[in-house]
Amino acid sequence: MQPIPRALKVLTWVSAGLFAAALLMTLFYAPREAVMGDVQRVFYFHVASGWVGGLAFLVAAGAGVIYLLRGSRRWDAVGLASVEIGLAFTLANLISGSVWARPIWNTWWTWDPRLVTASVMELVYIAYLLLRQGLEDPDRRARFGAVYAIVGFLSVPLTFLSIRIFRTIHPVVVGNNDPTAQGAFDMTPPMLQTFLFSLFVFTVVYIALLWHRVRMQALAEAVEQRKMKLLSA
Amino acid sequence: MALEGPAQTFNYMLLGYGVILGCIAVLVISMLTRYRALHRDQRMLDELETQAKR
Repeated sequence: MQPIPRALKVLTWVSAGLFAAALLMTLFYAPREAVMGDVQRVFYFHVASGWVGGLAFLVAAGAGVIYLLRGSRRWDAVGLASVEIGLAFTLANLISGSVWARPIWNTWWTWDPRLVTASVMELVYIAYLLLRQGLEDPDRRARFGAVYAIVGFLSVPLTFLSIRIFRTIHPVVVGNNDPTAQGAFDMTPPMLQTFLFSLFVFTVVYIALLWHRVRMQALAEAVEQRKMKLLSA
Repeated sequence: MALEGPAQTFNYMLLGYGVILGCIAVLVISMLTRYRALHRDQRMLDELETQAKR
């Protein structure tokens, strides 16, 4: 196993520092929202988590396309790594949204288009991991993963656009709100700065995690090959 | 009756942050655990290969 590249070590420390800075910004720099109170602060990391989830699934779809074109299993590793990370952040987005909704919408859950499509998106990618594990042949597994990640990505724009297409109580961050939306608020400049900084920080954290996870997958495959070689000797 | 000041939702804020940080922590800890297991496997394979050569 190659030692961790210096660039990755630096990126890891930088992303940890930026994350701490973003956390402090959301807690102390962004003002308390006038109606919702402190729970509104969850919004900054809630949206950033959703953004990383969508980005991760987009990268997985892109990696799937490149794998199908070039056949290099490295891209399968990128797709798998990205889906795993996307699942974690999408789960954070879903549950934190539910926590925010309890005091604001007076319910933990409602069959709102955004909540339903986001949950379906999460389930689609959980299925990606489960179905992959059922395939023993690495090349077949990679091909399946690539096609699934490409088709599964359809759930991402559907989730994003759901609040613009369907009637919803979920607030819109960028653009006009549905008249039935509850919990919408106007962002003051410190709020906007905190929001944009959180999006940036979460993107950096995603890149660091992706790099680490891809390296780990390369190590896993090398160990597997050595085990097979030892068993066949 | 008019609402005086923002709603008292501090505990929900803590829960929300806990969920987000918890999900990220689970992901990171899972990766660290798997990394360590792979390194352990690598060391074991090194030993087995050395024994097989003797």
